[in-house]
Amino acid sequence: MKNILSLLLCLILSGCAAKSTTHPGATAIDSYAYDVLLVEQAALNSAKDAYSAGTLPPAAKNPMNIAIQQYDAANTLWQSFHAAGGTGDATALQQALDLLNSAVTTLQQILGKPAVVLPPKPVSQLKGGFYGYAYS
Amino acid sequence: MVTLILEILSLAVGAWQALATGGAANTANLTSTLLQIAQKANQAYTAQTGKPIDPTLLKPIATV
Repeated sequence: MKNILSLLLCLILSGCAAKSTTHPGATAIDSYAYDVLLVEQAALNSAKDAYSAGTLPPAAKNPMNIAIQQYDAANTLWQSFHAAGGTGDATALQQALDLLNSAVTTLQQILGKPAVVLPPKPVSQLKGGFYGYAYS
Repeated sequence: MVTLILEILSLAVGAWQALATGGAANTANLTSTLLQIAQKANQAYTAQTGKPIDPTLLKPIATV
């Protein structure tokens, strides 16, 4: 059942994600990082609530905390990047988002198949396969 | 896009295996939780689509 629902969800959300646009007045990477952090923040807060309610297994705790720490690190970096007009160290921001993605992937592997579909990356600006998506 | 298609195919295989092995019923609660997490994440994303960036929406998260 889980995999069936995940399949349906993936199909539905993949269509939504493909319609992503850059936020007004923002650079592509600034906009993309913002979207990723919005998604991960909501997912991690929701996962925390579920864990507190006892609907996630105890094994989720450590990988969830690691993902939260990576989110906080990426968010701090992005806040500085954005405050500088979206023209800061894009490489460091990409690395922070990669680490966040890795941590969330680990959490998803413990819980089951990936249930969160991230926004499409700005392919023209980010090289190296953010989240494995390659919209063309 | 190729990666996404492969992921969908992987999920389809997983779904078939879950039905074949009878393991589907054991994961109903976790499935519901995961769907709720995904819905929250999708809502957070779509609610801000096309709007100017608001850095105050991104807040630190405390570990559990």
